[in-house]
Amino acid sequence: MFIIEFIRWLFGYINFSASGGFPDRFINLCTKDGILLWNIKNVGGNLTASTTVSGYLNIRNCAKKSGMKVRAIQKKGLIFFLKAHKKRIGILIGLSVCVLIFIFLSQFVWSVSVVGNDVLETDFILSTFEDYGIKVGSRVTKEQLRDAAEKAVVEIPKLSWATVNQKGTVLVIEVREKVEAPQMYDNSKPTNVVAKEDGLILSVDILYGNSETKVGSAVTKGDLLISGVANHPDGSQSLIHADGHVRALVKKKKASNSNSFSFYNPENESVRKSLFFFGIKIPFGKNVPQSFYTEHKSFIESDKSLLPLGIITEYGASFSDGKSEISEQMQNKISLYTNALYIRELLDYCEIKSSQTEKNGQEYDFCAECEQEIGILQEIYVEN
Amino acid sequence: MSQRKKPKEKKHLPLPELLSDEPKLETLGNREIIVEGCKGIAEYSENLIKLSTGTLVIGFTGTEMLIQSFDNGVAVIKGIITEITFVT
Repeated sequence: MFIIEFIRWLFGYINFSASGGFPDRFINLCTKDGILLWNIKNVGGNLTASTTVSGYLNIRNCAKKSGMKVRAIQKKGLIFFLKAHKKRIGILIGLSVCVLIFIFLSQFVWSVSVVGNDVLETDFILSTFEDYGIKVGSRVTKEQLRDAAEKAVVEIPKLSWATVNQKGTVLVIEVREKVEAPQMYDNSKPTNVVAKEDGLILSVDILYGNSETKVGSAVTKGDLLISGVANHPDGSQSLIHADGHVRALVKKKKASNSNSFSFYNPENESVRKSLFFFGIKIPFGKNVPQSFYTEHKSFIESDKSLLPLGIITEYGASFSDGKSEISEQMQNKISLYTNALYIRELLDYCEIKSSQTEKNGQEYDFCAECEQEIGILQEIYVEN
Repeated sequence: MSQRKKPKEKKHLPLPELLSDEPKLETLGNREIIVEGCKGIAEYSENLIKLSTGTLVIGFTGTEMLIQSFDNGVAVIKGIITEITFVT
């Protein structure tokens, strides 16, 4: 309905009233002559309705035949607006320039987004497509979009499929990531299960083979846990693919050493702001050093997406030639930070049962008791 | 003497709805009525609109009656409609 009203407003329409005579005959004659009427209302014998500009110019004949007197009440629409403001050249020029700019900018890409990625980072996908010209501020054709999607699938091995959908000025890169095929379990080779670390056995779960250890016994790295030599009732032996899960309590220790880090004082710190407008970056100021560089983008946001207009703030610095001394407090912080990284790494493959941190000078040493899987497969080499 | 076979009755398919001359009415509650197959307006006053459809004259009685559009044989009538009458 809004579209119809907008089109009517664009071409202009007239609200009129008609009185006296026969309203029904008047409407019939108008319809017969192809004069479009809408919002026809009869209030106390006085008819009010709306019609197009050309319809109103031809309505006199119908009014005369039906004995009605027609009078325009209100003229609405763009042409009447422009006519009323024709002396205000500035408004007309401004309006025209605004429309022209809008039409011109509509030919460019305003925003690019990525959907369907879980493992691959959005920025990485965007930068790959940028190499093929799919970026904010560019003019793209359908062929270009198709080519870019095909090339991106070739360039990024983790992608299985990609396409770029265009909705006006918005591009949506839709991707599907490859699902790696699961590794086939190869049980054709004879193997033993041996310990990969020192530890105290907590549980032994045998899938194939003979147990060579017991719960509660201590093992060292390389000890046989599950044997791949099968004994048969007739006294013969054969080699099989031994497998199983052996969990043990393992001690982990990490000595922190902040001396392994190098520290440099930043020099020539500077900040530069740039105006980003449809892919064009207009910098205000000198280039910032690139030794240490970060940038912050703040774009104007609409309800659904970012607009290609905003400010980019760049922070840059270069480093001094010589190493700088670090304070004791900083040493402590680095030590705790490296410990935290180590704990995060441990949690990927084991369960921490107990842990403690000991102060060693200005640093902290970390030690923990963890429960983890210690059995690994070791192939039994057979000479043919 | 052989009996003469009775001639088979020819069965005709009913005319599709779109091809029939009968008017089609669609009502949205008592606030809006769309009439298809409208030939012209037979009477138009403040509380009564009568539409001619060729075979029928359909009258709509109510208050705040408004013909929102009347084009290509389709009339959209709005208002608080209290009565619809059919005159053959």
